[in-house]
Amino acid sequence: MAKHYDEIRRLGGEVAAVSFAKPERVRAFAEAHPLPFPVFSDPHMAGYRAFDLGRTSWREMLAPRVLWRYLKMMFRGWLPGRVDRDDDLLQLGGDFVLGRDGQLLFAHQSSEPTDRPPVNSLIQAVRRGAG
Amino acid sequence: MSTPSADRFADLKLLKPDGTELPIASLPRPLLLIFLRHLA
Repeated sequence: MAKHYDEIRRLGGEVAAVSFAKPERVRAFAEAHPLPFPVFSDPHMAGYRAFDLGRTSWREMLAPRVLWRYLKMMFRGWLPGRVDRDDDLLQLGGDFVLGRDGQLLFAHQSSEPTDRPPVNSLIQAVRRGAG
Repeated sequence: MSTPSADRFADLKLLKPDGTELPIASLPRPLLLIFLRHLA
């Protein structure tokens, strides 16, 4: 997402990432891996619940198609980070675009660990919200 | 999965890396909010 951040900013939008890691881990991560947008902490997962984000299963995590996608991500340079004792390895993520008056312009709740929406659909939603 | 209604997250608060609270309503819009699975 970092490489698309400038385009989103040009459209008048902003990006924020949310992790369920505690603030001190988020701070250490942000210092080690500077991102152009802020990363916030949601250690009690209130946001994950509010946005109806689900959990996966070990069976799904270890499914060949999921492992294959992780392998492809690693070939592209992604490396999994350190796993902390507090990490919920089965929690799924999601992507949402909120409009100016609080309405939800786009919602994508991951159905499995590597499921992410196309970047173009996120940018289109930001464009709608900015228009 | 259901589409969450706006009133469920309107009052949501996140924590900045320094531990202070930040209401989600105070963030600029339109806002792309990415809920991560892991820090990496």
